[in-house]
Amino acid sequence: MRAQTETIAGERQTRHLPRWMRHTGLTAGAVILVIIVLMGVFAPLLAPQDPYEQNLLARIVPPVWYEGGSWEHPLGTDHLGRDYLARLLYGARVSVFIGVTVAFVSGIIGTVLGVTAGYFGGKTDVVISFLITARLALPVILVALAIVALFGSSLTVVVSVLGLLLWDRFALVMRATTQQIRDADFVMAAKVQGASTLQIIVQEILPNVATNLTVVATLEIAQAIVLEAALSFLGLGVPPPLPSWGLMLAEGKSFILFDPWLITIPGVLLFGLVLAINLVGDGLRDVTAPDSRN
Amino acid sequence: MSGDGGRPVVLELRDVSRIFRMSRGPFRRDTITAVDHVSLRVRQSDVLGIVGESGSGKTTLSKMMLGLLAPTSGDVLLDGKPLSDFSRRVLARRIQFVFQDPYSSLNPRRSIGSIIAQPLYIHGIGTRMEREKRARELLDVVGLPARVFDNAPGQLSGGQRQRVVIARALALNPKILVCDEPTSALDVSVQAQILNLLLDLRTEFDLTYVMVSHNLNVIEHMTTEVAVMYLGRIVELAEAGSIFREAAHPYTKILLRSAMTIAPGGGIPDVHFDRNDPAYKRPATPPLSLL
Amino acid sequence: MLLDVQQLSVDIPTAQGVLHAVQGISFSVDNGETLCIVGESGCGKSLTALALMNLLPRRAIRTAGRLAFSGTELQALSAAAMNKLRGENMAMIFQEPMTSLNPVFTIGDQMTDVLRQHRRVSQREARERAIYLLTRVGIGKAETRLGQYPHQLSGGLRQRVMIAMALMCDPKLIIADEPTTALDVTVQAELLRLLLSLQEEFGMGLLLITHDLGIVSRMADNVAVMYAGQIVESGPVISIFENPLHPYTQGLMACLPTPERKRMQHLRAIPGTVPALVGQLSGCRFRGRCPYAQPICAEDVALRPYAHDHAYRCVLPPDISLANAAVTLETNP
Repeated sequence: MRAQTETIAGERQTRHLPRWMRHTGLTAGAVILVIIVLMGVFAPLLAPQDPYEQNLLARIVPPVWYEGGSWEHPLGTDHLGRDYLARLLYGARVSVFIGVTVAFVSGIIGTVLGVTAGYFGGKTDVVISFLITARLALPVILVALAIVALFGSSLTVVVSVLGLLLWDRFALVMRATTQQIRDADFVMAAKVQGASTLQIIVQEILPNVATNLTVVATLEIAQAIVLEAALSFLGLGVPPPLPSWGLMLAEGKSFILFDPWLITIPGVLLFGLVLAINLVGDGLRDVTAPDSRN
Repeated sequence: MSGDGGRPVVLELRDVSRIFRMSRGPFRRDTITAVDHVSLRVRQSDVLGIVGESGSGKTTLSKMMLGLLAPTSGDVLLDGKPLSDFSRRVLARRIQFVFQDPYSSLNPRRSIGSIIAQPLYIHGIGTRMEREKRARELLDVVGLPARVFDNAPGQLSGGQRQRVVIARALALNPKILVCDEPTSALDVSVQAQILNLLLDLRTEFDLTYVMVSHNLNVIEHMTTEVAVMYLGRIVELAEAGSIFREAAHPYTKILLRSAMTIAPGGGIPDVHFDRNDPAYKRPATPPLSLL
Repeated sequence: MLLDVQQLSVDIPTAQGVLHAVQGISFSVDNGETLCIVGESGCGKSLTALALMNLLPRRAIRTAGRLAFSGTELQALSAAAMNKLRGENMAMIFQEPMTSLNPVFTIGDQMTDVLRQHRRVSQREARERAIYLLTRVGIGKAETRLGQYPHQLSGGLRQRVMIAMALMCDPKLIIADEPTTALDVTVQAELLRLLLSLQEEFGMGLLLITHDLGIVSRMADNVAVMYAGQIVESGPVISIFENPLHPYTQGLMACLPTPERKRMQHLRAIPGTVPALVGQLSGCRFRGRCPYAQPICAEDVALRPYAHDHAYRCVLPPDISLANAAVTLETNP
């Protein structure tokens, strides 16, 4: 018989108020991010015009707040007379799509490699660490340029190339976090219970590295978006007439002296998006690691 | 020895050693003998206490009993069969482990209910509902209220967490529990609760315990036999009561004198001894008389 | 009076409300005296030590009626003056020496720095004192040890270095917070013995903070038992152990497995856990776990005197309390 009864008078109340709301950077980033994603998702509804429809009679119409602008094209038109607002909205789609898919592809590669290296250690770790080092030695933009030049530019090629190149940070972070957790007592507990290696990795390791994974993923999304913009700017990203902010920057660069808004508007948006994603990433790291902040 | 009543030997260590290789720099490799030719027998319903300081090899020994580490030489036998004959799963149903630190041994990302049901899930026992029911029974067995079922480990106190660890260890109805310092991370008032629980469970489920600790008072109170380890060897093995009355080995005597029993105004005894003196490594004579 | 503390409180604001970690405790330590503060985790004993050294976490708020060291009111001191006092006249030994020794400096550098911060002595003199003290705390080949880094030493040796370092400036008071908890029992005994003999030799006051009643009984001149931020019983060591008056003190003594108790039998456990100290607190903090709790326990209890210097915070009269203690200590159901 068990005589004792634990009354739990002092049960610790760790009620988690929505902490993220109190983190200014995170909130600001999240708000910008949500707006941009919504822009992309509802682009067909929001866009005043077809983004592909050219109107050579109305080329480079300035935005409304400039002289000569009109509400017909609130942000004006580009050098082919396409509605700039419509292209920006659809461009948001492309940017967000590329960011998310690239982070997804590279996230899977990096997590598998990183967790494998971290969990098994030894020779496996040596081999995978070498792979990571080799990958870090590659200049991303040059390799991407070469491959795109070789295979021709399409959305699939851009996504695959970036996805296959950007897994290094995932692998590094996952390797380090897995190494920390690998020897935790609860992992040993699962072993004592007879769990298979796969069960241990899926049930014990992954839930504990998930927050780090999210943080890296946000940073990689930002990285992918910037790289896509860079590739597009160099003419080897998504092929025209697909609207992409990087491509819009590239197309606008010839008009930079006389019609600077062609550059500034997509530039500001790109800046805002990457900033927002980084704010969210940093914020998530702060919020999910409560101990390191006190 | 007398009084074993012909109880079967459930766990046996035959001349077990474990050597670790440490690399020190690219060309230097040291070997450390963590466990040095240890032989032990544990009979059904015994409580074997293993006492020793850090580095005495007691943790390595308990890991070998659980099959988490293979001996470098010698055999670990469970029910007379070598441990290597058992699959990890079959082993898990026979022998389980209670950890020292109730904070790191529970996955912080899981609920108490799923932690306790996890062994059943791993072994594919029962449906989801049945596993949940069993987990609730186990909560009751270890004296935890049903409402902690959905809590996260972080919401429980140290003592409550250690109860969860024990409930999880019991889920597969093992015969043997290896407890590594089960109360050293707990407050004294909670330590008594957990020790009482372990005593109750032993009678209720006819469990056999191997209890590893540096706390002589706990070992004295909880065990039937005590093995004293020093530098990888068992230097003394005796019935629990007798070792405290008439310790034979000089190291056991030192350990007994260092125990901080209550002695108001008693001062601290001088326990200085030469750690390199071979007398402390030599087993007491007659060696391992219990076997 | 070397150290005189009156009505010391430590409050820590948290998201759930104010945590009253230490609630108006008073005690004193004389030259050559050892006061042990004993209690379980979360009772406020470590924060008390940090409050004395003015080393509390930034959010914590310290209030005190009097906090006097050798007659100097610590609360009136500037940060610089407190720094000077700390290390020179008041030294502290922590539980984990690895975290309180700087890993990138040698033992010798750290020890001589302590002295040279407070005294105008040459490097050579400081080195000589370091060697002398390392030898005194039982470290052989002290001169080679001076050139070593903390990670090259075992836990026991590191704690010896910490003790030697605390002694560098000849402090009048040493505050030791669980100094041997992380160590093996034989090393623990050696270090405690060393602390006692050094204290006797140098006539320092020692404030020892621990959870281990065995250590308390052997080291202390006076004992303060803390529970949930309050001192629930205090007095001379013999009196406390022979006549424990507070049900918590009695419970602590009864729940230890000792050679006198019957083996493999139930120990007297204190049921339940420590209450949360957040928000408004009232009444006896122990009443939720106390076997003798009565309705009157919901009202605040003051420390009441029993005998010379022995006081306890309970409504039970001493004779009844002692009768209870006899029951608690002797029967083993």
